[in-house]
Amino acid sequence: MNGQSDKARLIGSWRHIGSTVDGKPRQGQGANPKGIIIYDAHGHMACQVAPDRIVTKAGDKPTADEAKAALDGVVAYFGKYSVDETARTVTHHRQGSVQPGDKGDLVRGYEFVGDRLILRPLGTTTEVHWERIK
Amino acid sequence: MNEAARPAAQRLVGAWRYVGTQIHGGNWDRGKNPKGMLYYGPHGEMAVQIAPDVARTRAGAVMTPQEAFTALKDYIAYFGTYTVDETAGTVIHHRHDNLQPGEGGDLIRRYEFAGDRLILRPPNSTMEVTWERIR
Repeated sequence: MNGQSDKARLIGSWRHIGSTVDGKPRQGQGANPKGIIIYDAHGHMACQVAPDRIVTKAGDKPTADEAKAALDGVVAYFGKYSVDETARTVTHHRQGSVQPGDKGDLVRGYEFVGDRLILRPLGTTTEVHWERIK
Repeated sequence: MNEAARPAAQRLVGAWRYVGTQIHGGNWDRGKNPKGMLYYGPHGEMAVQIAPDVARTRAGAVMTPQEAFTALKDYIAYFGTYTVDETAGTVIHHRHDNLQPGEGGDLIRRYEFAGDRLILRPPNSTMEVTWERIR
């Protein structure tokens, strides 16, 4: 992989391994949260992370309270991305996100560690760990 | 090999932009400009999201149940793995997680390629979901 650009290394899909804050597992995601992040070759991306929980609905359609429980802690957005190899950041230009009030760009510091990708929201101690799907 | 001669399992691989949904020959209403992305990976992984064109707003720091209800309504988001049955002309989405409460398990979709487009149809339904290859 020597000589490959960071953008080329990002391309593909990655399985969510876990998130930490201050080096400790992020609270509220349960024992086994699942997720995927995709960077395609044409500048498009998508991300989903689901806490380990059971979301239910009693009737045909979710009630407002059931909807709130279903959205709690969920990440689901997609759009385009751009890479700044000097700053070592990837910016997610979101075109859609399920979370109310959630819009605009997200900037993430990136680091490759073997088969893993670590994304860090700038200015935080949060780390999100991903493993290449292959 | 020309595109049409390639196995469907190969033709599906890549990212697809949401074009629209039809049911009973009419448009499924997801607002003026719904957006979405479908992805089939080369290693059997898949993910999809479709966001209806509605304002997903939040007045305070934490969403209210009503704000969550509006944001979640008709939003499709799930991911997992997929398998292709070329004889049946179907792709099965094995969902590992699904955003919508109370929904899970496999989804079967008949597929059709039409030029740069992919049409997915749930069996026994008049619904068609149309996607356009992202290039």
